[in-house]
Parts: sequence; structure tokens; C-alpha cells
Amino acid sequence: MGRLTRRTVIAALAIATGCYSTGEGPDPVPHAIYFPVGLAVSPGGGALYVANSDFDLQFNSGTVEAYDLARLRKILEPLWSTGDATVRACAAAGLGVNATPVLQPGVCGPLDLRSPPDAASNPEPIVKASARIGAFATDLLYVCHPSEDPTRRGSCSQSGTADPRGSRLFVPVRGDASLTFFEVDDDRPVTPPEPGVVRPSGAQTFRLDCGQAANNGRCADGHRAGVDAHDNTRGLTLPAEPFAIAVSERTDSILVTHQGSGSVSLFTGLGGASVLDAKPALQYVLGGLPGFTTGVAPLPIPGSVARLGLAATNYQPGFVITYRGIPGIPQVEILRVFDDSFAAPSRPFLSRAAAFPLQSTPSGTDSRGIAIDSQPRAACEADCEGRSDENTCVAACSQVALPAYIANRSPASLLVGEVRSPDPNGASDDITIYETVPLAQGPSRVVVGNIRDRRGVARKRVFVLAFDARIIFVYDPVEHRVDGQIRTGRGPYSLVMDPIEPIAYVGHFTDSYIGLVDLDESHGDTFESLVATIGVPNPPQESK
Amino acid sequence: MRKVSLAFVSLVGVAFTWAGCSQNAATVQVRSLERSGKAAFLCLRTNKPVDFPGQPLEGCFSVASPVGADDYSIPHTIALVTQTTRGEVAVVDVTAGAVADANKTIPGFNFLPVGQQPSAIVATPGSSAAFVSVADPLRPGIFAISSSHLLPSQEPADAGRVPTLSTLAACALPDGGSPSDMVLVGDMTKSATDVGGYRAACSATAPVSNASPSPAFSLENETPLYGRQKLVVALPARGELVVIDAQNLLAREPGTFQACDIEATISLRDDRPPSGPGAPPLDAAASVAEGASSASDPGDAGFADGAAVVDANGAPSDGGVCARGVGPALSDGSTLPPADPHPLALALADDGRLFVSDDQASVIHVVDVADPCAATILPPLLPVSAAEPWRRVITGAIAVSPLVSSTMGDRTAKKDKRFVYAVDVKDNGSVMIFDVSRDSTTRTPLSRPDVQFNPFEPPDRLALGSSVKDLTFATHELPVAGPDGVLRREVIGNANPDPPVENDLAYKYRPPSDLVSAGAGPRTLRGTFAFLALSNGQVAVVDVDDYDADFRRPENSDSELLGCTPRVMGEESEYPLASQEASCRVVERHRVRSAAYFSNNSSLRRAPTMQAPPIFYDQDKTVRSIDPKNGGELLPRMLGPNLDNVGINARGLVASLSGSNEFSKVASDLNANPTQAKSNWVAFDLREPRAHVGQTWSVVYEGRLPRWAQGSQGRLQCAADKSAIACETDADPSHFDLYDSSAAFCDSGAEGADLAAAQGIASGDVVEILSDFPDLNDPYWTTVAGTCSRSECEIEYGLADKPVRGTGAAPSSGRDLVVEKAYQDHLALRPHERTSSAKKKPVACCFPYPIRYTVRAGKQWIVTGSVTGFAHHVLPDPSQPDPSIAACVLSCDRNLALRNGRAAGRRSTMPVLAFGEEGVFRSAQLQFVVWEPKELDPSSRDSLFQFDEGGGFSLMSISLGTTSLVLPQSIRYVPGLDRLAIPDAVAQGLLLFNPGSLSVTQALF
Repeated sequence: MGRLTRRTVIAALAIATGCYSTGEGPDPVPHAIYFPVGLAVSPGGGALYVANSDFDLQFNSGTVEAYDLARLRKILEPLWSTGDATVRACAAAGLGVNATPVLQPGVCGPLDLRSPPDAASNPEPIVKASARIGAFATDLLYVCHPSEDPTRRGSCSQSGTADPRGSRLFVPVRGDASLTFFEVDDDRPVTPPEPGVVRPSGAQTFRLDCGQAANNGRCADGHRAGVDAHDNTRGLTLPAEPFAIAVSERTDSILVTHQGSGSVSLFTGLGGASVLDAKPALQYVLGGLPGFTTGVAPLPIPGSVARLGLAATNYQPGFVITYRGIPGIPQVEILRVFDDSFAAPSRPFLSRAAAFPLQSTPSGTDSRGIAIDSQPRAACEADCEGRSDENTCVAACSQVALPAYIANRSPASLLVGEVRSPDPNGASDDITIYETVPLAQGPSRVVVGNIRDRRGVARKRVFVLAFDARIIFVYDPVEHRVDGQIRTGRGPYSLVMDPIEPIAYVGHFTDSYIGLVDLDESHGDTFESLVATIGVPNPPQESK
Repeated sequence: MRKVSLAFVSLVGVAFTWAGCSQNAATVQVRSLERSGKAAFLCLRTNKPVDFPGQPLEGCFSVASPVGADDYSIPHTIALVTQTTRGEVAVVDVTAGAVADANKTIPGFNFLPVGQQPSAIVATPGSSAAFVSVADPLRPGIFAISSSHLLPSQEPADAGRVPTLSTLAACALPDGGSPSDMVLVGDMTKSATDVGGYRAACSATAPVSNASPSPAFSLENETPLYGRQKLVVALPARGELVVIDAQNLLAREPGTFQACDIEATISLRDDRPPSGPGAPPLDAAASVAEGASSASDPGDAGFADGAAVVDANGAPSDGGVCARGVGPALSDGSTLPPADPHPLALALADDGRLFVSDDQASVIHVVDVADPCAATILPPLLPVSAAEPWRRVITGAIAVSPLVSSTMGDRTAKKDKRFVYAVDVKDNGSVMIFDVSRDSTTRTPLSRPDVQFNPFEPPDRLALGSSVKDLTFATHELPVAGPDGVLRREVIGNANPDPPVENDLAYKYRPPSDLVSAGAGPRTLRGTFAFLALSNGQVAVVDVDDYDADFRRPENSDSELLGCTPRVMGEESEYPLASQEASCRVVERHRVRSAAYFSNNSSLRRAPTMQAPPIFYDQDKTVRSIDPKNGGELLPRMLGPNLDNVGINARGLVASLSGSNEFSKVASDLNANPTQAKSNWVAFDLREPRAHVGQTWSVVYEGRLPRWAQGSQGRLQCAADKSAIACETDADPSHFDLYDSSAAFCDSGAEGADLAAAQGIASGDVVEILSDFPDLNDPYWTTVAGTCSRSECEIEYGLADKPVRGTGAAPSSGRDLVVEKAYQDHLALRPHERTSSAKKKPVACCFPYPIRYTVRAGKQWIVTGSVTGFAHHVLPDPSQPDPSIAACVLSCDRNLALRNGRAAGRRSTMPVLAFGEEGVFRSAQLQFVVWEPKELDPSSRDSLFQFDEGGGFSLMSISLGTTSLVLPQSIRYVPGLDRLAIPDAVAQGLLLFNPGSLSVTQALF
């Protein structure tokens, strides 16, 4: 048996038995996309982060890389800003013609990250930073510091200002069963300028720090949470197969699901502080759940609670999780985080608060990604600002139902429903799923984003990635229907919206590249289609 | 190299099916139809001129076995099914039982391309053409398909006929005009000058050519019969309907995509009555004022026009507070502001009214399109929710019934009622019913007059287990020949005919005496029914006008207790042709049909019955049989009330044991007197059969409220401003409040001592602490040395699995804390009493962390059904502005009066009570009395009665996929075929459902 074959068999066994990297093999190829599983964009739009999973264990680690997104955007502008779907646009961008449009949709050939079209004028690499992580990363989450004002929702609000402490990227990694995290820049604008800050916040320096500089390029233990049982009072380590990740609205807790077991892990900051302030600690593993846990999303905190404070209202932040392989009646479940602050020592824990059946589908036994759109309630609360009855108004906003979306695999569908919060100060959210929108095979992730309509107005859309069918379905929540289908290459797995332009980036797992999607409705020929390929597609080796 | 490849195949086979380990490869069945959406049907035959192959659908029929695709010796039913993934229309030859390939020169099945997002499809009544709307946001439009293109002889074996976008006539809808639905309306305005005798164009000045188009693109065969066909198209984003001439579109040059000639535009409005201060509330109560009436016959009382659902808003009554009238206010404090109209689905009545659902505005638009060129907007229907009057109710699928009789089962009734069914999108797809008869005066949903006897269903909705995706009405007949040999239709059944019955044609439809053979019964559909396609892959059947309704009732009782209306007061009538069922309400208008006879004596006949007498288990779960000699001194008993006030023929139904309906056989056993009864038993309330379901009943002494059956997490906080430990121990002790923000104590039925006292019960609920103490090695203990220790706490409170509990003398002691008053977010607890005053160990000292707790009834029995759960009518005080912190009160809503789940014990020395008498435990399903011995020992907690209720009302909801998942997308009745056509978005393509056999008879994919 040849070396490659042996490694492959080892890899196959590793996958079958728990997904742990052997640590063998060469270093990963720099500046290359390899089985990408997670994409994130800095809120100022300066950096694109990619988590490469090393899924076939060709290398001794996976990687996380930071790309110069502004430069990518500029190079590819002729493709996404004009609606021109001809080779003329390719030439304008310095790209060739796509020779394999069936595998990689789009007119133009790929943008080679090692040799970009503007290399002559800009010798700087597009990949600005890189770090090595364990194999089999599963997700990537960018988290900003929340506003000091608790009434300001969301940790990475576009209207917010940059936090000089920067932000963090979190990556669940299966290979070493860790939550690996990185210090990165918060490149939102600074208004007003902050005197005395050494590094002006808002700048994008492509910081990507997980202690790798002093650790041979690998993330240091100090940036891998859930590995050391001594980091917590319960002697816990992260269970196998961490999968999806979500952070609470106040960034004080992170939940990680485990697709190979009926458990969920809770990470919190030190002493109830933000998970951005220190190394997050694995505090609790809630086991005994009825199925393998897959998707997770935070429940928005009602405005009244945010104003009065969680402690004053006895409010426990909640998360919704989805299941795979659940016996009996399919369901989603709300878990709540108890900070245990009255205890000495306090040991935060999770509690199962409520389960909600997925009645509007013949089978919900394989649910995946979930997204909850908090914007309608935030908009309601924003409208209350400055009113004489502001508190009453904000309390009433808790009645604004929040759209909820679940990618369901069997049958392939998007489940549409709502989160309702009957009590303005209570942690008693209800989840109702009332519509099943049929999709094609393999829905996995749900992303709430925007397109730009023909009048230049942002319109909300829900994007559902169907891995097997190579389609991203675009659901219009106002018209209550699928109003577009984005044909992708093989294995669309992750999607992130550009915070500045009406474009999105699709991570293609199978052929290891990123597609760029035009989301400007005024572009009749290219709207909701892949117009550019970032990175040279790299088919899996057996198909070469 | 081969090894490498094999190894990688094995690896990547795992990897690529989904980006994660431990995934199995998805098995994808290859089907020609993909994500089917909606279907239209045509009936084609070729012995007519090929250019006019269409004929009315009634001219086609179902065939026993498929006919060859080229064999047009009999007419073929052709289905056009939208394919939403591919932007195509599939052609399915139902008669041939095959999917047609539109281009055999290309591998695979090829369909008619029509553009992305096909949203609706309709066919002309004479099957000359079909029209498909496409909702591609960039290119919204309508495509026309001539039926002459669908004949096999016209299949594109020749290259010139290969269907492409350019071979179809089409027109472009205006900007933002992505259509959601459309219907064809016949313009019957006479014209002496236009082709077919009807007006060709709305505008006299419109440039209409009277020259006949090419026969293949002409509707002139149909116009004399059906009028000039107009497409009425809903454009949600524009909030309007537009009218387009079908002939004009069909005759357009194929391959062009010019703007549609819109002949009329109907701009919709949110025409709800004005809201805001001073305006009447827009709720069901308002509808009562608009036109109250009630059903007169129980057999027709499914939903009633404006029947009162609840008491007046918030008006206190008999000491309680009603549940209604107070909902969360919007930020401006008024009722809902108007919304932009956003039409979604259309339903056309045969009287020319078009009903338009709206998924933004809380109205159902009504438009008179009898003259589509001069459509008139009528007052809208007002979809509201009695349970949530503050909610903006938006609607999805919608259907309108044909005219049906005013009263089901009444031979003398006029056929003058018409109903609209509309789906409440955000109420899990429930269905509202509107009376749109010409004499109707209400515009809000009808409500059930029987809410009191079935408080588990919403009062003004048909709620099913899953959301309704689409719905339709169909009239299904089983005509039989009269004495003259002529087939008769619409024969109304009569359970009590004047003799001789054999001369009555309805006699032929009578129920079978064995309830097995053919005849009137649950699975025999004769009449008009609604068919609801559910998102869970089932079809539910709703009774609208069942010709056999009169047959479905008890045989020899008119008792009101069986939901009947006595014909002769004080006497019981005989109904020789009745189905011997246990209730007169088995068939009710607008209610889901029963799937089985509601009768005793067999597992297939499902009237409520005790499978065996209730068994008493002590707290150790040991069976304790009743000794009749002990005089009720030792063990409690659960006995039904005295049935002397129940009609003699009804008793066997009200108190059925093991399926018997002969009360005389068991009367000696079913004694209501605790000193004489030989066995436990209960009586059933049969006034609303739908309240019953086969389940296990448990009646538990001081049982846990189901919300806390598994315990929950909360924290104790001193009511006074002092530390938790000082709360109990300083000079001015206070009491604890238990906070659990996710508990919703009122909604879960918790009661404090105040509510218990109002009901004559000795104790409020009890909070029992389930937590263990901190571990012996927990550093915590060192911080409270001198106040408490683990061992002292164990003595005072006991361990979790061996607790010290409250006693009669000190109910709030040990791990028990009596609830003084319940609020939605917390429980105010009675100060803790200690059994050992010498060594008081504060609760907060022994349980310093958030406690795990449960809530139990105090000195009561908790009644729980394994399916229906624990019923109560506790709610947060609606007069409080913030419901999340409001005190718990009992609703005075009489419709909720039977939502009971607490039974107070009765001393055996007290008088026996009669059926329905105050003091008897009454719920919507059961009546009984728990006779307690002289004193129940505190250790009796968790002792229980348990029994199985057999039978129960089973809803007719039929699964469409026995071996595969089905996601029905639409449903429509196909006359001629006598089938319901249900496109499936998963794998079954097009399902044909036979309302006669109540099964899927064909799946075409």
C-alpha cells in the first residue's frame, strides 16, 4: 500500500471513528482554499476570513486565512458592478474565460490568489494572514464587542462604531475538539475619533492572532478553549464533533452543537463577562438531548429586558437548537443559560426550557441550520427612541414576532415560522413553524441577507444552501415564496454577505474555491448568479 | 493507482454527501417531475378537429386501466403541472398514466419551458388552452399554451415543434408585477358585433381585431358557452388585480414578450373598519353585534354565524376576570394600522364574486367580477382571531364553496348557503370559515357554539395538526336509481322516515346494521366536503353538506347530554335508520369528519368507554383494590355521579364499561354511592364527541402539575430587601418569592392559596424543592459555618429522594413551600415553618444555588389525560398592563368553564351528587367524584387513580404517502375524473386522490 493510500485509509478511518487528525502530512499549502467550511467578513468590509478544513487530511492541519477583501472587490468590480456577463467583463477584470462552466458557473476563469490580475501594480499578497488549526473545522463566527448601551442590539451592528479592543473569530474544530479563537480587527468606522488610541480602531490590519507566531504557525493552547479540563470547575473537555456555533446577543455565552451526540456545550466569559474579554471557558455540557444537535441560533433579548437588565428581570438568555435523527415528533428546542451568579463559585449551566414540534412538515427529523431575524423587533425599538412613552413602546415591541427559518433535509425544505415573546420581561418565547417551502436536495445552512432591488433599495432575502443540489434558494419573506435560485458549483457550504456591496461569497466545499454572487436586481443577466471564482478550483483528488 | 482511487472514493463518498463526518450518502430517486407546484387540467380528444381538441373536463372520465398515449378513442385527461425548480410545465397524460416527453430527441423527460418561478396555471373551461404565470422578479409574465400543442401527434419529433420559450405566446407583466395567482373569468356581456356573441374587449375604443386567429390559438369554440375569457391576475407587490384578455394573449406572436394588454386594474385596499380610540374593537365580539344568530339544529351546529365565543371584554363576572379583550398594544397604543394590500390567492365563486386572500393586510378582499371590465370592490371579509384579537391575521390559501343547503340533513332546507375557507397563515395554518351567503350579515370568521363542551379547539378556527397548504371543495355523489330507473342525485338521508321506508329513496343509503357493510358511514362521502391538503402530507376531510348527516346519531335517544335536540320534551324518540352512534354531533358542518363510527362494542367503533374500572395505586405504585366492606374508611374511591337524571337510553353511552352500551348489565357495579359501589367508574360527557380521544387518565393526589413534571430551575429571592438567609432568620422575617422567568406560572395553571380558597380548597399549590444540597466538599459550607451544615440540612429537609415534607399542621415545611399567591413570573411563598424550632436551618442556607423544583397541587387531585394533558382556566390578570408580571386569576369565561384539571376530594359522609351537579368534577370529557376516606395521610401524595378511555373521536386525515414523504403544494377537484389532484413537491409528482375510496389511486411522476 502506497503512502498516499495509507493516509487516505487513515483519513477515512478517522472520519468514521471521530474525526481526529493524525497530525501527519505536509504543511498546508499557503494562500490556498482547501475544503472551506466557514466564511466571515469583517463588519467594515475590509477582510474576508476563510476556514479551510483539510477534510481529506492531505495536510497536517487546517487553516484560517484573512484575505484583503477590498482588493478582491476592486479587482472583480467589472464582474459584479456592471451586470455584464460577457468575456468583455472578464478581460476588464484581467481574467480569462471559464473553461468549465458546468462545474464552476460563471463566464470568467478563476482569480488565482497567488497570481492576481493586479499583481503587477500591487505585489502584496491577497492572503494577508494565516494560522494553522486542527483538521475538520466546521464553522466560523465573527464576533464584535457589543455596544456599551445595552439597548443597541447585535454585536456587529453596521451602525455601531469600531471597538478598539478588536473582535474575535471563533472556529469549532473537530480534529482537536476545541473552540479555537482569533483576535482580529474591528474595522467599522470610528466616530468620533478616539484620542489616545495607539492603533486607530477601524483600521484593517488583517490581524489574525491565535498565538501562532510563537507556536510554529499553529494556534496556541491559549487560543483553544475546551481542551484543558482544568480551565473549568467541572473538569470538562469539549465533546467530540463540535459542529455549529452561536453567540448570545450580549456576547456573554457561546453555544456549540455536537452533531455526533445529543449534547450542547456552553462557553462563557470570565465571571459572566464577554467571551471576547478573556479565554472563554467551557462551563457546561448539556447531554441527554433527544437527537444529534445541529443548528443553533441565539434568541434576541426583549428590549425591556435589555433596558432593565437581565438580573433585574430574572431573564436567562436563550438559544434555539435543531436536531438530526430525533425519534418521535420532530422538534426544535430552546435552551437557556443560567449564569449561576448567586452561587459561590458560580458555575453557569444550560437548562432545557421548552420544545416546539415541527408540525408543518411530514418529517423534521433532519433539521440543520437555523436563523432568527431580529431586525423587525430592533426596528420597532428604534422607532420608540425619544418618545415620551418609550418604555411602554419598547415593551410593546416584544410582541413583534421574529421570523425564524430552518433548513430541513427530509423532505428538503425551508421551514418558516416565528418566534413570539408573549411576555415583555419574560423568558417565555414561543416558536411556531407554519410553512414548509419545498427545496432541492441537501439544504444545510440558512443566511438572512439582502439583495439590492432595481430601485437601489435593500430587500431582505433568506438564502438556503442546498449542498447536494448545488443551488442556493432565495426566499422572499415578504412575498412568501422562493423568488430565485442561484446555481452554484459543487458543494456550496457557506455563504456570507458583503457588508458594503450587493454581493455575497459562497464557499464551495467540494472544489475548494469561493464564488462571488451578484445580488443587484438591476443586473438582468447576472442577478443571483455566480459571476466570479476566487481561488483556483481544486477538485477532490480522486476525480482528477 | 487503482488502490488510491478506491480509497479516495470511499473517503470522498463519505465526505461529499455533506460537509461533515458521520453522514450517509443521500439516496436520490430520479423522477421526471421535480418540485411540482400547481396543476391545471384539460380534456382532449382528437376525433374533433385537431385545432380544437378541447372539451369540458366533465367529458373525460377515469379509466380502469391506462390507455395508450396515442389511443384517443376515448378522451384523455391531460394535467399540466408546474415544475418550480426548472421553470417548466410538465405534461402528464392521466388517462395514459404517463408523463409526456415534450422532446424525445433529448435524453430524459423534457417539458414546456415557461420561465422561472411559475406561480399559477389555469385552463379554459373548454380545454382549448392553458395559461401559466411566472413570478421571475426580473421577467414576470404570462405564457399561453395551446391545447393543440399537447396532442401526441403534435409532439415535436419534428425539430420545428420543439418547445422552447419562443414557441409560446407570452406577455410581460408590469414592473414589480410578479403574479401570485390567477383565475379565468367569463365576460358574459353581450355584443352583437363581436365573435361568439360576447364583448371582445373592455374598452370600446380598444383596437380589437375580429378576425379569427389561427384555429390552434383560438378560443372561439368556447366563447359562446363560457363567455369571453379574461385572466384576472393577482400582483401582490402592486396591491392590485389586473384583467387580461385570454384570447388576446393566446393569439400573440410566439416568442415575443411585449407588455400585456391590461384591460382593467383593480386596486385593492385595506378596508377594515376604522380603528383607534373610540372605534369599536375589531374582534369576534364585534361580529356578534353585527349579526348574531345561532344554529338551530345540533347536527348543523359545527360553526355558527356570529355565535358568541366569549364574554364581553374584560368584564368581571362571578368574581373572576375574563380572558378577553386585553392584548399587547402596539407601540402607538391603538389597534392595528392599515397595511398595504398584498393579494395572494384567488377563489372565484360561481356568482361572480372573487375572494382574494392577503398576506399583509388583515382583510380578505371581495371583488365582484361578474363584469370583469367593471369590477366592483365589495366590503371585505375580516379575518380576526378570537383568541388573539390583537394579532394581524393574514391569509394564505383560500377556497369558496358551491351553494349548499342551509341545514345539513334537512330535506326541506334551501340550498342557499355559501362559505369561504381561508387559511390563517400564522396560526399554524388553521382555517377560518366565513359565511358569504347572500343573506349573511357578518364578515368575521364563524365560531362554534359548542366551545364550552370542547374548549380545546380554537373557537373560530379549524385547527389541524399541521398547517393547511391548500384546500378545495368537492361534491361527491353515489347516485342510485329511483323506482323509475332514473339516477337521482342529492338524495338526503332520513333516520326517522315515515313508513314505508322502502319507498324512500334515502333508504338505500341507510347505515348498515352491522356498521361494516356499505351504507351511510364515516367513509362514505355523499355531499359537499372540503378537502384540506396539509403540510405534513395528509388530506383532511371536512363536512360541509353531508347528505347522510341525519343518519349519523343515536338510535333511541334524543338526550341533550348526547348533543341532541329533543324532538319531544321528556320523551325519547326512536330513529330506526340511525347509525347507533353515541352522539348527535358526529357530523357537524365545518368540522373535520369522523374517520370511524362513534359507537361502542368494537375497536373500530370509537365511542368513549372505560376499558376497565379505574384502578387505585398507592404512593408506592401498588394496586389497592376497594373493599366494599370498609365503608370508605381507608381508601379513596372514584365514582361517577348518580345518573338518575340521565335518560334511560343514554346511560349506557354516558357510562360505558368495556364497550358495553347496556347500562342495565353494569348498573349494579356502577353505583355512585361510596358505601355501596363495587368498583370505581366515571361518566363521560358526550355533548361534544370531538373532546374525546383514546387516552390514559391519571388522577393523582397532590400530583405534580405537568409543566413541572420533570422539575425546573428557579431561584428563591427574599420578598423583603434583605439577604436570602436573613429573610427567614432576622427579627422581622419575610417570605420567599420563587422566580423562574421561563415558567409562565399562570399559563401553566399554578394556583396560590387565594385561588384555592375561592374554589373552597384548603391549600394553594406547593413548591417542592428537588435539589440536592451542595456537595460535602463544596467550599460553600465553610462560608456558612454556624448557620447551617450539610448534615443539619439533611435532617431538616431530607434528601431529594427521601424528602421531609409538609404536614397538615405545618404544610409549609421541609421541602414543601406553600404558594400564597401565583404570578406569571413568580410565586409568592408562604413563610417557611420548621418542624424543629430548636434548630432552624434557613432554606437559603441549605439551598444556596438556584433550586430545582416542582409545583404540586395542595390537597387536591390533579386530573391529567395522556393526550389532552392538564386542563385549567388560570390566566394572568388581563387588567394588569404587563402580563409578564400579572397575578394569576381564574377566567370567568364560561366557554372555559370545563377546562378543569383539579378535583377536590369529598367526604364519604356527604350526599351523593347527580350528573352535572355542583361538586362533581366536570371536564369536557369526564364527570366523577373522588370520595376520600376520613383523612388522607400526608404520605398519600402521588397515590393515584388510573384508567384507559377507549374510543374517542378520530379525525379523518389520510396520509398521501405510505412509503415516502409527501409535501402537497395544491389541491383541486377534477370533474370527470372525480379525483382530487395533488401535486407533490418531493417525489410523487402528481397524486390523484379518490374521494370514493379515500385513497391515492395514482401517482404520476
